[in-house]
Order: sequence, then C-alpha cells, then structure tokens
Amino acid sequence: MTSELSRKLQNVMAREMGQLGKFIIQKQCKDLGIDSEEIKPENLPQLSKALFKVMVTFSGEAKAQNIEREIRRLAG
Amino acid sequence: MAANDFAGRDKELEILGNYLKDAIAGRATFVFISGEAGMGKSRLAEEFAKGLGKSAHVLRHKNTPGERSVPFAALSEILAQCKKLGVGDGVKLRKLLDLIDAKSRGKGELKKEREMLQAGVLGYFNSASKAAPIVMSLGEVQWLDESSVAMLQRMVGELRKSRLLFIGTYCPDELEDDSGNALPLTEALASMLVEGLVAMMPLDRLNEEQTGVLVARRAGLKKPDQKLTHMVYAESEGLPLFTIEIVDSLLESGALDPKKKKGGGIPDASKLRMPKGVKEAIGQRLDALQPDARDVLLTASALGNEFRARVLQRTMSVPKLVVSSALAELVSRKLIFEVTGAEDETYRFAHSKVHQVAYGMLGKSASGIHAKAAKALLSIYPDVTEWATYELVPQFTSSGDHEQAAKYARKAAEFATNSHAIEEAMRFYKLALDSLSKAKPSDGRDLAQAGTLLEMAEVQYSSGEWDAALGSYRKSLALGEKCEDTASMVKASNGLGEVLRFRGDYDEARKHFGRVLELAGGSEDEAAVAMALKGMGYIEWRLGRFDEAEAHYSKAYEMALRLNDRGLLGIVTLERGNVRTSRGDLGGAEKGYRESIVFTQDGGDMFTLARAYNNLGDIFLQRRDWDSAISNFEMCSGIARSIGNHDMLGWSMFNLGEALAKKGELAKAEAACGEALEILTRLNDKTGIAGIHKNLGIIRSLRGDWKKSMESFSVSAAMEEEMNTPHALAETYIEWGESLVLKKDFAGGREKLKRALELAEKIEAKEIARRARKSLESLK
Repeated sequence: MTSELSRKLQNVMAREMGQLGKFIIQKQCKDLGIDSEEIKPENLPQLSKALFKVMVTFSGEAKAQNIEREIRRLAG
Repeated sequence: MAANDFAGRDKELEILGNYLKDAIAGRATFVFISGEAGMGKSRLAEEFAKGLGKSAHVLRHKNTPGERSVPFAALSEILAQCKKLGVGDGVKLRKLLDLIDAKSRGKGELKKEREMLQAGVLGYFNSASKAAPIVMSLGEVQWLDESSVAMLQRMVGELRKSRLLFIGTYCPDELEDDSGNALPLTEALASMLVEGLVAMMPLDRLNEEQTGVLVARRAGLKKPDQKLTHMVYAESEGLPLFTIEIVDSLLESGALDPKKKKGGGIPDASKLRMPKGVKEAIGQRLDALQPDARDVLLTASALGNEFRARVLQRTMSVPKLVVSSALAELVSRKLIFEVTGAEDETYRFAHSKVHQVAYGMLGKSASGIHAKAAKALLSIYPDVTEWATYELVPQFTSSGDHEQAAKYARKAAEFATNSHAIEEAMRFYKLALDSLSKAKPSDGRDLAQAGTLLEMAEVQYSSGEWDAALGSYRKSLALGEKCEDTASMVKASNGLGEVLRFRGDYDEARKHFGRVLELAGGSEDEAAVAMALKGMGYIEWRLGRFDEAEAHYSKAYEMALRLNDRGLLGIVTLERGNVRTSRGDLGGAEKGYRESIVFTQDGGDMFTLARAYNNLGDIFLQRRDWDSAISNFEMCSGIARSIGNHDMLGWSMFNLGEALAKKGELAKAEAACGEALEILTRLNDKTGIAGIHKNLGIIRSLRGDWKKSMESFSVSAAMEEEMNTPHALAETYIEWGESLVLKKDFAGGREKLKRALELAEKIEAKEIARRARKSLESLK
C-alpha cells in the first residue's frame, strides 16, 4: 500500500514528467536507500534535492526550484 | 516555402542546432523530445534533419507499437541506411548485419556473441562519426524492444566522445503497457536521466500566436486571421495535431474556403460545430470518407501502424483495384502515407492517433479481422518468413487462437535468438507460455508447454543464465512427468545434467544423466543415451577418474557410431582426447583429436572442428613441436574467424602467440597476443586476459623489454590472485621467475619460483612443481 506522502510525490512528478515521474522516484529512492512506497517526511529534503537535479535537465532551473519547494512542502 | 504542418518551434530548432555543434566538436548528445501525442515531436526532429543538408549523415527510423515484436528493428533499419549512404567501414558493417541476421547462428555462447554485437555497433558508430558527424533520429522510442534499449544504454554510456547527435522522441503517457508495467525504455530512461547522461526537451503546447501561424499555413491563408485563430485555438488549446485536424475538417467540409472572396472564406464561429478532442476530430474525418476508403482504413488498422498493401487486400478479399483506389484516397487525405524504400508496397498511418481512432472504430469485429489477417499472411508467405512470423504472433493473439499464437511465438523466439536479441527471445517464449495457459487444457497443451520450456532453457543456458535455465528445465521435467511423456523427461533430464555439470555440481548432474539412462535405456532413443554417457564421461574426467571417463566415452562412441551421428562422434572423440591429455597419454590424445577432425569435417559443427585443431595444437606445444603447433592453431583461428566465434578466435590467437614466442618469432607472437587480448577483453574473459598478459611477459622478456615484461607478469598474477586460480598463478610465477633469472635478477627470480613451488605443492600440480624445483636447482 502506497503511503499518502509517496502518492502525493508521485502526483507532482507525474504532472511534470508523465509516467516517467514514477520511475524517476523509484530510481532516486533506490539510490538513496529509501522505500519509494513508504516515503517519510524526513526523507523529503534529501529526495527533493536529488529530484531537483533531474528536473533541471527536464524543465530548466527556475521550474525545478519551484517543484523542489513544492516537494519540500508536501510533508505539511 | 514553410511546411504547412509546422510552426512555432524556433527555440527548439536552435537548441538542437547547438547540440549538433557540440557533437561536431566530439561531445555526443543524446536528447529525448517528449510531448503528448500530436505535439509535433516527430515533425520537429524531421524539420531539424531537413535543414542539415550535407553537414552530417542523417539516419532515421520511426518505431511503431507493432515493432516491439521485431527485435532490433531500429538498428537493422539504421544499419541498412548506413550501407546505402556508404557510412563507415563497410566490412565492419557487413559483420554487424550478419550478426543480427535471424536466419542462422553459430554454435557459440549467445552471451558472448551478443557482447560482440554490442561492442561492434559501438565501435562502428564511433569510427564512422569521426569521418562525418552522425545525426540519428529515432521516433517513438517508447516502442523500442528490450534488446534495442540495452544497446541504446551502451551507446549513451560509451559513445560520449563520438561525433553523434541522437534525437529520440517519446510520448510521456505511453511509457507503461495496459497493465501498468514499464515498457523496456522507461526504466532505462529514468536511470540515464538520473545519472545526467541525457538531455531532455519537453515540448509545450503552441501559444495563440503560434497557433495562428500554423492555422494560416495549413489553410493556405496569406497571413493569420485573428478570428479564425481564436476560434481554432479555443478548441485545440495549442495542440498542433488537433489544430491541423480542425483546419482539415473545416476545409474538407467546405466550412472554410480560402478561395472564397466573401469574408475571406472565414466561417462564422457560431455556426460551426467544433470537435471536442483530437479523437473526435479524427473520427469526424473518418466518418466523412467514402465507404470503401473507410473500410480499407479500418481493416488496415488491425494490421498495425504500418501495413503491406497485399496483406491488406488478401485480408479483405476484395479486388485489388478497390484497395489501391481507396489507398490513393487515404494518401490524398493525409491519413496514411507510403513508406519509401520498402521491399513491398507498404503504408503507414500519418499519426498513431489516426491509427488508434481507426482501430477503436472496429469494435467487436476486430478479432474476426485479425483471424483473416493471419490467414492472409499464411497464404502469402507459406514459408513463414521472419517478418511474417513476427506479424502472425499479434494477429493470432488478438484473434484468440491461443495454440497458433503460441506456435508462432516459439518460432519468433527462434528468430530473435538467431539475431542475438536474447531479451526478445525470452519475451516471445513467455508469450507462448501465456498463450498456452489460456488454451484448452489437454495433454497436447502440457506437452507444448514442456517443449517451449525446453527451448527457453536452452537459450537461457547459452546466455549464461544458468539458474533460469535450471528452473525452466525443472518445470519442463515436471510437465513431462505429469503427461508420462518419456521423450520430454529425457530431454529435460539431459538438459539439467548439462547445466549442472558445467556448474560443477557433479553429483546432481550424475543423477539426471542416470535418469536419462534409466528412462531411455530400454527405448530406441540411443541419441539421448549417448548424450547422457558423454555427460557422465565429462564428470568422471573432471573428478580425475580417467578409467571411468574413458569407459563412458567408449560406450557413447559405440552408440554414436551405430547412429552414424558424425557430429556426436566428433564431440565424443574430442572429449576422450581431453581425458588422455590429462593422464599424460599424448599419443592417445592426438589420435582422439585427429579422429574428431575426421568425423567433424564429415558432418559435425565447425565449433567442434575448431576445438579439435586447438587441442591438437596444444599437444604439439607440449611436445615442443612449434611448427605443428602453429599450423594447428592457425587452422583453429581460421575456422573461428569464418564462423564468427570470437571466443574461440581469442583463445586460438592466444595459443598461437605462445607457440610463436617459443619458436622465437617474437614480433608475430606479440601481434597474435595483441589480437587475442583485444578480443578477450571485449568478451571480459578474465582467465584468457590473465593468460595473455603472462605470454606478453614472456615475449617481452625475450626481447629484453624488461619494464614492460614485469608489468605484464604483474597484471597476470594480480588477476589470477583475484580469480583464485592457483594452477594458472603457479604457472605465471614460474615464467616470471625464469624471466627474472634471464634478467640476472637472481634474488627476484628465486622468490617467484619458490612461490610457484609452494602453490604447486599445495594443489598437487606435479608437473609445475617439478619444473619449479628444476629451475630453483639451476640457481644454486
């Protein structure tokens, strides 16, 4: 069962990158030793930083910064 | 003159231009253009390529969903274009084309041959791009087959310094299959993106101004009309394909007529019914077609995104003229286009959305059309060519004929194996098993499953996937037992014995070979018994029980003789020769290898023939008859080269290098070792690489190049330490020690020779120990 936070993050990435977003999260989580289905608030700083790098390649720096901030705020 | 279906992508064209400048400077770029269907990804890549002129070789291919069924379709097409354009080294190119030819394959290990193919492709594009930059444009890369994706990943990783610009387009919402599983490209792309190896270019929708330019070009207006633009933009929301479809729909219905003078031919928005989506817009256009053209288009959609005219005509069972005039109408309406350069009259849907909409209109009649298409394919291609096989699989699957789907999926797997597309072969075998699981339960079905698993296991074994092979053989055995089918049980047990003996699990292997003897002993299946005896002989040889090994091989020999199976006789005599070599009976071994050569020349496989020459050369090497050794190793390398068996070629060049060195032909020896090193490094054969370094150490010390000689011995010893191969390591220390003595470094030589002696005594390698002692004594 996917945690609420994992689901929210997947939605943000899917909005930006389509179906690839989910696999980017899986790959980054694997590299960082995080369970992609059980992302916890304390994982977000590390994860958002890693995802920022990918988003820069995808959408440019300005948009990537906005998305990074959005991801950090997901924990509420 | 500007194209009438392209506008608003100046920024993207400029970025692509900059990537090309990087590529020309030797910094390859792999860029992926993404965007929803209809965003104009392919058009952008095409427009960019069009503007290049002769500044680069442009290679293009567009994948379609159906091509996931054809292994290496994109690579084959790209290489064919290289041949046509004269790109790169023609000899290398021919070799690559031979390797992906599905008609036949040598008997080498699939895994190693596949590595050669990948390395060959990388080498080819690297050197070809040095002569002229290459732009490789692949459309719809999400449909690439798994084997091609693996190749692409290697290219991205290893061609970074080539003069290549790769442009791939994909649709971000088509990266998963219908069940939500990732397509082969998806995870690879995620991984390459995370590692920062690729550039991305997501396309945005056009703004209203850009839409206006596109509308004007499409409608043939001199300049954008604000009212029309606003009206179209309100519906299309800047999606280029939708924009084009709306304009075409308005033009075809006569609602928009640029030739009319009154009101400039611009319709009144309030009187128009605008389509509510791309699908509806396309649907409206298809509904407006003449009945014949509509029927042809819908039937064609069942054949795939790309289809052959004669298959379509046979599927529809209507006169040729009806089909050809309908096709002409569809081309004129830009719903399809003819594929140039195809071997048969072939068409492609103008856009995957058009294909999807047409196929959706078939509804429940689709499965009947698929059945007719399968029948048509079989009547046109009674020999069931490679292409027809790949086409038959989806046709039978979609028609619900599971037995036939499984039959052709197995055949497709065989073709894929021959092309070295291992992943695709596995996919077809899984598809065959899936189809069989849906077929009506029967013994026939279970036996077909057992047969599929056997074939699958053989490919897995040859690819080095030994655990997977064992799993498949075990499942096949279980099904054979369930049906009480001796033939299946015998084949699976023999397979299990083969894999287990190579894994060194001799007790288990012996049990399975024993089972074969038990099951097939009383039957007529002498071939299976002979194979099992051969396996038993090998096990006893490895365990050092030479008498037992010879006994098994002798029985296998008698049986193979009765069967007049020259191929098996060639292998049995060769392996019997190996037993005799191990017990020091060089005369007996020579006889065995010579027999093997005679049998194999008369009906065996070239791989065994090459092995026999190689082993015979080794006998002469031991007898210090350098000329005979050289001549046999040369025979072996010649055969290995002719059948493209790089593994055997590498080893024979390695042995040839040693014989030449011993004879004192040092320059030739070093050249042979150099070639061997190049081949075995590509194959990542660490045992061979270490051995070559040892030989290079010997050669260089004989030439007095001490520094390089010591470096070579050091590399060899380090590798053998790491691999934990004490026998080879002891040999290296002897050669190293003797070279140091030659260099007059007596203390260093003594130390290495002592190390060799210690190792040899520990593993009871008597010959090496004797030699080490002798060399040490000479130092006293």
